Amino acid sequence: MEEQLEKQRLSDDEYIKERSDFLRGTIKESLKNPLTGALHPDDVKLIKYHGSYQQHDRDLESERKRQKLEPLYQFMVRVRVPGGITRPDQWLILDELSDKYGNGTMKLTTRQSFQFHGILKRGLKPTIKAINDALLSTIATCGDVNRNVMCNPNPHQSQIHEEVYEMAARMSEYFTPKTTAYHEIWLDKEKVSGTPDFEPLYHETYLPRKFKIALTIPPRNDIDVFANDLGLIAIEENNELIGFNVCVGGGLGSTFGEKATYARLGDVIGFVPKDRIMEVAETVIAIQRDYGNRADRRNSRLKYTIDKRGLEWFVTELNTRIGWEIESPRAFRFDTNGDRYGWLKGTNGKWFYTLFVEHGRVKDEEGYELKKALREVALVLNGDFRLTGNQNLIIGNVEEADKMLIEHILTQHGVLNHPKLTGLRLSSMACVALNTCGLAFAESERYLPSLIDKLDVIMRKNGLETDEINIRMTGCPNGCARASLGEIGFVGRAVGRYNLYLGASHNGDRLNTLYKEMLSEEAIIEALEPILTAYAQEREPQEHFGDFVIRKKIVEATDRPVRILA
Amino acid sequence: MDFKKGLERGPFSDKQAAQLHEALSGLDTGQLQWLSGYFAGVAASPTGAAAVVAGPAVAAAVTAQQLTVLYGSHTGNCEGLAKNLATLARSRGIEVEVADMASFKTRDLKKVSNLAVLVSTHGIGEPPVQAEELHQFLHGKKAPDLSHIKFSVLALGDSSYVDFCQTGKDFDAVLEKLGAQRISTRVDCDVDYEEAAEAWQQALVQAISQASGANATTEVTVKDTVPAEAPKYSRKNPFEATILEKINLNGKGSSKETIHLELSLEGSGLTYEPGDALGVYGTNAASLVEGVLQAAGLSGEELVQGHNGEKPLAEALTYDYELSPISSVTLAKYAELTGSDKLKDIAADNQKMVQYLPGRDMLDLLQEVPHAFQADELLSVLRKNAPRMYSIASSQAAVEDEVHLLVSVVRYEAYGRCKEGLCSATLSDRFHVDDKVKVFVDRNSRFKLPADPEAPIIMVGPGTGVAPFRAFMQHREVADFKGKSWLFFGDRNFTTDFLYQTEWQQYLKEGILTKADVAFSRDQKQKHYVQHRMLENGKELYNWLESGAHFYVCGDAKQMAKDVDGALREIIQQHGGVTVEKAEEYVKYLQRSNRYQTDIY
Ligand code: SRM
Ligand SMILES: Cc1cc2nc3c(=O)[nH]c(=O)nc-3n(C[C@H](O)[C@H](O)[C@H](O)COP(=O)(O)OP(=O)(O)OC[C@H]3O[C@@H](n4cnc5c(N)ncnc54)[C@H](O)[C@@H]3O)c2cc1C
Ligand SMILES: Cc1cc2nc3c(=O)[nH]c(=O)nc-3n(C[C@H](O)[C@H](O)[C@H](O)COP(=O)(O)O)c2cc1C
Ligand code: SF4
Repeated sequence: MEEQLEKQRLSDDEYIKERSDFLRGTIKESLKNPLTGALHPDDVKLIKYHGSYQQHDRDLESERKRQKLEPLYQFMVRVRVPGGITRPDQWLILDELSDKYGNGTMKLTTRQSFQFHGILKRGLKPTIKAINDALLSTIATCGDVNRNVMCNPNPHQSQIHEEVYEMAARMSEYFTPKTTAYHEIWLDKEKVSGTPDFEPLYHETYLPRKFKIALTIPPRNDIDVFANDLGLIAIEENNELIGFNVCVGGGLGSTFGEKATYARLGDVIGFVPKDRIMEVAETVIAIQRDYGNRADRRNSRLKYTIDKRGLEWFVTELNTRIGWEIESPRAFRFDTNGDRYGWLKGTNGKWFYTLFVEHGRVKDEEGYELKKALREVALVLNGDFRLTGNQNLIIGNVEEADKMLIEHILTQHGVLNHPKLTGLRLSSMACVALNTCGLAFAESERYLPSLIDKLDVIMRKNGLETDEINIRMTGCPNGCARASLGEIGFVGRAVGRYNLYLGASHNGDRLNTLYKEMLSEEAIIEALEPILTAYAQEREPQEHFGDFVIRKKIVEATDRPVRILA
Repeated sequence: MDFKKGLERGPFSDKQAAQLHEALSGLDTGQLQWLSGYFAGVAASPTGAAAVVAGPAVAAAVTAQQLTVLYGSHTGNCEGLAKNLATLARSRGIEVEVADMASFKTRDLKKVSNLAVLVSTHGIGEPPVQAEELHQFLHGKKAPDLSHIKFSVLALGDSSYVDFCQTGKDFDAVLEKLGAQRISTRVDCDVDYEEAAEAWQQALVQAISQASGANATTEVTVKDTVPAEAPKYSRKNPFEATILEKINLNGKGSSKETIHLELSLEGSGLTYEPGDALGVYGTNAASLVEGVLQAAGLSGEELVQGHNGEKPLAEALTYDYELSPISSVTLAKYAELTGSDKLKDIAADNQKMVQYLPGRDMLDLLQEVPHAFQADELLSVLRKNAPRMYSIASSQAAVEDEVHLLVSVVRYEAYGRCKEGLCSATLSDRFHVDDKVKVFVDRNSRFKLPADPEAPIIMVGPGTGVAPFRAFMQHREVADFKGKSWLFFGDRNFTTDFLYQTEWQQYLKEGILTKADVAFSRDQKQKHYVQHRMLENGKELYNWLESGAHFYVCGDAKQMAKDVDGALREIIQQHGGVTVEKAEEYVKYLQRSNRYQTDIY
């Protein structure tokens, strides 16, 4: 009876998961239906666990309706790249797939994955098959499971980076679902009869909501560790990795007009030696699995589970489950959550070139042939490609001798020394939004570049063209480009209208605060010009813009600072 | 001889005397002797009853003629005309029997005295399905002697086809060859057949009446030949329908342009049924008119007397005549006019014409063989602007006084210029919402939903061929038909060319459409077409036929209809487990029982 009532209160997604037979649903049949480019509604939810979202071209929505055509259904496919490191041969295959099945571009995401857009239903299987043939995967890049595990690329400190990266890769692997549905549907593997599916960690209804893990090595916070459900801060002692500070309960998404939803940074609850970190990570996920809200998806992320019962409750629960007590956190310091561009020498003597990729979109434009250039680089490179958490790309492990060649290729295609590469642009992030994202209220990726053109006029006027103020835009309050951690943050409210947020820290440990709502472009310029001018004139040495606006009381500092337990 | 009045009139009343006088006057001696013998026989019979019966027979023997009207029709034009002819002939005391060639028993040819043949040409110079068998029979070894028959042929056709009225010509020739005598000469009609057909009917009836001694009355008004329920708008007098809606159904990036048109018939009194077509008059593009005028060395201002009244030449060329494509007739006339040996040579040879005509328009012709024209000279070689037919894509049960069309726009490059279809390009480029289009309803009695609402239907309609099936669906939805339905649709690309996609999805959801299979030819390396989908579903398709399904095909005649027909035969053969011949019979049977209907073009 209690059971019953409990069940009735569950969200629809829970029932879909339950009846899906470990994420199979009717995906196979849906793929076959020749009369529509879409999937069965249940399968639309289930396919996320396989790494794809059903979308449609929102630019053509009303036009096609008039033409008596269904929406132009197409699929986004997200490729899991633990720690964001791929080999040149893999890059070449992905590049090719984007032309063959996608819209001819690749999106480097804010979580170090690749995304393809515009794949038609019939292209879905060949694409996913090819990705797997290249020894990459799309499984669990979406859905109520642990996502792609982030790890900062951190090239200039490679001796512990190698080990931290290994850890990220191991977690990513360890926490992927065990169902064989993926292999049956996409890789034509026969289900071995008499072998029931078993999900040791997730069980048959998986997690209440998505779960995100990131690892970082101070002083870099370029993966925004505090934005994750579980953030791990590497602690080293005389160049040896000894363990991690554990932060829990990060998450940036919210819904306008719903007070019960909000952006929240993770709290640092303690330190765990490296050999026990897996156990702790698994236990954190298990707690969220058992206590997370399965009735209201808007309140089901770990951050809400923790705020509902209290951080102390959480630590106790964790300690009891593992049967020992985690230590108190070690000291750490972050300087920035941005990327450092250009050549950096790793401690292994190899070179790393961090390349700005505007909003992660790898494509060719008149006079700026990024996609071609990177293809050529991939053909000669015997190092690797590393995606950063800021939608950028590192051409990694380059031999001294090859530096010239690579610079030459990039220059040839107009990618290097691009005049538009000001400090502001280099510190910008924007989410995908229109025309593919189904949740977008406003433009983001397609709009921010032109807004920055206009803001740069002000920056130059004030001699700020090289200043790195991190500026982020999203098309809705879900926060995919982590706008709530932008020193200047824009969140779309409606086409051409944005909320303006100010005052996040430069290193990702303080959320920004709402400054003005519903601004048009003119209003945005009007609002920012005096503040930027004042910043140029009145800032203190080394003072970052985010700190300046708070000192000047232009906005209040957030009332949700990161907690660090003693 | 003569019957006296008064006492000398014998045993007859004055009235009877007058009648006898009427009946017997002008009989030659032979006839009178025959009659005397006849009356002797009657007198000998126990009662006079026989005489009463014989009475009319006498009159018949004297005057009444029989006329057998055979029609071979595909889209119903000949059928309609055949019925008009019957009405006219009966009104002249002729006994008429009208028969569809398909159901006519060849052995009955013995009984035929006067024969009227109305037949159209289809395919590429081929007889309509309904006429095939009789056509073969008459050309075959078993063809009988027909010297007892007097005949005349009306041939319907379209002069834009090289084999203009070929089937009519065939019948005309073969009847003569079998010994029959022509009572009136064959008339070949172009798509605007009304006047010519009417003249032919008059001439024929006249000739028959004259052959029978009866003094045929000639004061027959035209009304006799027009069916009673004729609407006030027709091919000759089209209605000006307002365009309510115009949408290109092909999504962004498509290689095609297919226009959905919604027209208003309000106030026209025009009605139509699913399966009928709408005739539409287009206009020539200004650029083409310009070009032709220049090439012809004319200004366009010249007043001319065209088939549509007096007006400036440019106007006549724009609205009343065709500048593209060129018809075989135009080519022949132009060859005569210019005396060009080259053209004469081509016009004289079908093969060469087939090579020469496609893709050429009047401008090409004038440039290749220039000629200094008189304005009216130019008109004299041109074909009257003929309406184009469009299968109606709506049902009045659903859209009331609207009519919907689905038009594929013809554009191609030939002989160094971009060419366009006269009518489809008019609808695409020159007419817009709120403009008026000249239209009329063209009934098609040979493409109709089954009368039985329970009967399953199979609809094969790739491309614009899907138009009438949208009408079928609308009709069945409103009329709440319960029969199963199955659509086969195909086009180039799924994402852009799935015509009426959301409507089919809705019909499926509501169960008004039972099943749909689609084939998109350019979405993968190997080409897929509707016939491939049919074959894949062969077993089930055969079962549908066995359970009484009606099979409909609409769209391209040149390739698709043939391939679909082939697939159908293959399916019947394979799943019916029968020989080619038996499959052939099965198909013939479907056709005769109107369960295999095509609307192809
Ligand atoms: C591609 C990416 C943005 C980018 O431009 O790089 C992205 C794109 C989308 N995100 Fe995100 N999110 C992306 C990073 C993020 C981040 C940043 C991060 O994780 O560091 C966040 C904020 C952190 C967080 O999770 O709170 C984020 C919070 C969301 C949310 C809000 C979740 C919440 O609990 O509030 C949604 C909506 C949802 O899950 O219901 C969402 C949903 C989406 C979807 C899938 C929209 C949807 O659900 O239909 C977007 C697909 C758009 C498209 O057309 O590609 N995305 N999303 C990032 C892909 C990351 C990856 O590779 O896995
Ligand atoms: C009963 C019936 C129903 C019909 N239903 C429909 C319908 O529902 N929808 C529809 O769109 N059409 C339909 N049609 C066809 C329609 O009537 C017209 O024939 C069609 O629209 C073309 O007319 P047009 O005036 O645009 O082209 P025209 O000016 O008549 O030109 C067509 C001619 O151009 C030439 N031509 C075309 N393409 C090329 C090329 N690539 N190279 C060289 N020469 C070429 C050919 O000689 C062709 O005959 C139907 C026809 C019939 C008889
Ligand atoms: C698919 C198709 C093919 C045709 N082929 C010819 C032809 O080869 N020669 C010709 O003179 N007329 C041709 N016509 C024109 C028809 O004969 C003309 O439309 C006639 O009026 C039809 O009469 P019906 O309705 O009795 O069949 C064709 C018409 C269609 C629809
Ligand atoms: S932030 Fe909103 S609009 Fe932007 S990608 Fe995420 S869900 Fe879409």
